[in-house]
Amino acid sequence: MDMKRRDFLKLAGVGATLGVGGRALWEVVRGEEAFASSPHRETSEGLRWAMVVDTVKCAEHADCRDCIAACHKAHNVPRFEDPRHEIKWIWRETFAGAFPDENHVFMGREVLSRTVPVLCNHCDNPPCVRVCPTGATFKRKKDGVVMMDMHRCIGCRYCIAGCPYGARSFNWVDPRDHLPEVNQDYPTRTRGVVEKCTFCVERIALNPANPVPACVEACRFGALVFGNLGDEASPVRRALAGRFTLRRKPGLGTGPSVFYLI
Amino acid sequence: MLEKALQGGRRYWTWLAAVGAVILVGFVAWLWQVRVGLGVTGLSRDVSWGLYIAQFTFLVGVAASAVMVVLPYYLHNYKVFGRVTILGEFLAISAVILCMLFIFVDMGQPRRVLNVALHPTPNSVMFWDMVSLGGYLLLNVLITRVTLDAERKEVAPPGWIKPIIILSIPWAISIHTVTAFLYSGLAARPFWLTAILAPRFLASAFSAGPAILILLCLFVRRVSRFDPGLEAVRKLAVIVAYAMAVNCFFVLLEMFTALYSDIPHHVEHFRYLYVGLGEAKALVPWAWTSAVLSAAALVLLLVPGLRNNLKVLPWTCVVVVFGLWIDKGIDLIVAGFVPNQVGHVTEYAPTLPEVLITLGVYGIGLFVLTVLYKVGLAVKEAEAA
Amino acid sequence: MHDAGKVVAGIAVFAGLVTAPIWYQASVGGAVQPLDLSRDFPVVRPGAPGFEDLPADLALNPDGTPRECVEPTEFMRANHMAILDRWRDQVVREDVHDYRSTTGKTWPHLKLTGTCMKCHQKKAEFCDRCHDRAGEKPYCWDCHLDRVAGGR
Repeated sequence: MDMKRRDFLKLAGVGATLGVGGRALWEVVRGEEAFASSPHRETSEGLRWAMVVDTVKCAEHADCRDCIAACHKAHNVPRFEDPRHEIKWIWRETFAGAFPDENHVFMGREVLSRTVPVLCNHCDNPPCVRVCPTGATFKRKKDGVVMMDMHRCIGCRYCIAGCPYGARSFNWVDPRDHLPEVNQDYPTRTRGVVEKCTFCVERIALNPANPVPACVEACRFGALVFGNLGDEASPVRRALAGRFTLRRKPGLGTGPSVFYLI
Repeated sequence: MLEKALQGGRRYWTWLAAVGAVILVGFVAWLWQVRVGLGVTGLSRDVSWGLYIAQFTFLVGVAASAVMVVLPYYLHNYKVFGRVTILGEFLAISAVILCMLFIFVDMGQPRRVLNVALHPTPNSVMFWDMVSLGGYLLLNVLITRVTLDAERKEVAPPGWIKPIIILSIPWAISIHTVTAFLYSGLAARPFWLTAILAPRFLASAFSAGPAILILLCLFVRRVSRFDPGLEAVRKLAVIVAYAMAVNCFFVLLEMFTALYSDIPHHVEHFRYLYVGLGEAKALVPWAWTSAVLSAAALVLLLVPGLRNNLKVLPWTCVVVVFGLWIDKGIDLIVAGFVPNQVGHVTEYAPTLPEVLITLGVYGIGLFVLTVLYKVGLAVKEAEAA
Repeated sequence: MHDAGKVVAGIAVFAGLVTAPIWYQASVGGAVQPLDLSRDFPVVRPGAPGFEDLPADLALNPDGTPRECVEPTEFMRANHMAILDRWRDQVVREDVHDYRSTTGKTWPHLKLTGTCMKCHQKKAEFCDRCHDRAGEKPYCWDCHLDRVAGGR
């Protein structure tokens, strides 16, 4: 038989590839992987920014709004009397509102009465990005941040309809008329575009190794932790390893990157 | 051919002037909206789509319904519809233009409308909606232009138009399917997250659309020397009856799945619609009106004596259209946002500028429809004479 | 020709409307004066007009060298819109914050307000003068602020 060595090697290569691929598939089907709630996808640089919120610490300071104030001040988020026109990047939500499937009436009153900071989850599989008709909102390949391009947004509000967390706000009128004070270092928005939390990309750009978002910086009680999910030694991974955490609406498969210590 | 629209009697010009006035008022209101922002509407952070997008949804159905006369005539050679196809296609053209305008007035940054084409995003259903609506408009403009021109010259239409007409049939189905996909693919909104939304949309479209066409046919019989034929009208009524029955069936299917499974996130929206959530009951009267009208329409359509009675039929059609308009043009969109993603209840009511803009857009549709029908009827009348 | 009178009248009205801006300018505006670009505001190069008026910390880099623009003046006059367009996409969409200029120098951390307006502080004179005249209405300033933190 004149089967050349090269051909044989080729065949073996194909076999090996199939074997490896098949094994990976098998692992997914067989084990915990199948039901594991969305393992985070690889980014191009193994970098995945994430946040951990300690709801216990937040509950201890129920009246604290430092993170909200700092964020909204840093990003020129306007303040509206009319709740219909409200714009918010981060706010305190009731426990039942934040975790509609994770509460019941017999829960301890303390847990049920917690209000937790909620913000854009920077989903691993973001529905807002999927529905945007112009690519104005997109997920950054290198670190998974879900970003808004205000220059491209046409204001169709499909992303608002698509976001399961209510994280997006629309500029119904000119926001500049509703800014108590202006941070000259950050742009405002114009009427007719959608906005949301960006995980402080402007701070990530200045300090890519160890960025600290405005909300995290403002928290006096260490209730907010920010870091790289891809790094086992990062503060977020250490926080996640030690205690039980929830994510918001994990059943939808969006893979939120904001975790809540309970 | 369009010059035929310039010859008309006093009633014609008065009508156009009246519609023009409505358009003008709407246009001024729209300029105000562009200046101030969409804050002039009743929309909010929680209910971020309302009257405009709901009208768009309803009218995509009207546009798609032309297929109900085109298909029998061209695929099955059902001659009776030969006289009404052009009326159906002109209705489709007007409706598609209305759809596009309603999307346009809903945009926060109308100047950037071309971004959808400049940065094509195939993963967005809205991109495909633009493709399908634009294509459908082109198809129908081409088809009506060529067939009517042939009719005027009293020759057979050229052979190459036939495949294009055939293409317009699945294309009509596609526009409403894609429009349903806008909603039914959103995990965030359990009310819309249902596979039956597209077929339900088509059923209600094939009921409301032909019902409007019947009204137009009866109107045309009155005001012109062209008679679309009573047999065609009666056949259309049969189509309306079937589609209405299927639509009601689909709505009940949807309710069964939501209510029997009793999954709270699905039930809450139906509760808001039919009994209200606490103090929030804005849609309850609308929802029940729609339900009663639909039930009444079913009786009026299914009893042959009533359906074939030309004195009753126009009223039946009004009942059908109004019932389905409430369902799609108000309830379906708004109820999807109440309660919102975190369980809060914010109600929605359109404001005066919003209503004026809506009426103005409808005015443009009526204007286009009037001009197109004027041209079409002029050709038909010349042929009959 | 049918209705020759109406057709000719129609064409005349159309021509009049289309050329209206020219007639208007001729009757009201008079001759168009060229913009005095030598009065650039303030081109922050040593010896350029306006350089002396700049606060010292803006006229000089931290290392004491005179501050210069990311590109030569002529280049910026012709291409600033294209550059800004590309920067914008680079910074927002690609997370690239540095600019390599045609002179070979790399400029870090691009910002419209923080980079351009830091030197060209008088927007009304530096941007608007030309834009107004050209009927150009860039929407940059709908969002971006024209004043730098701690600036004028």
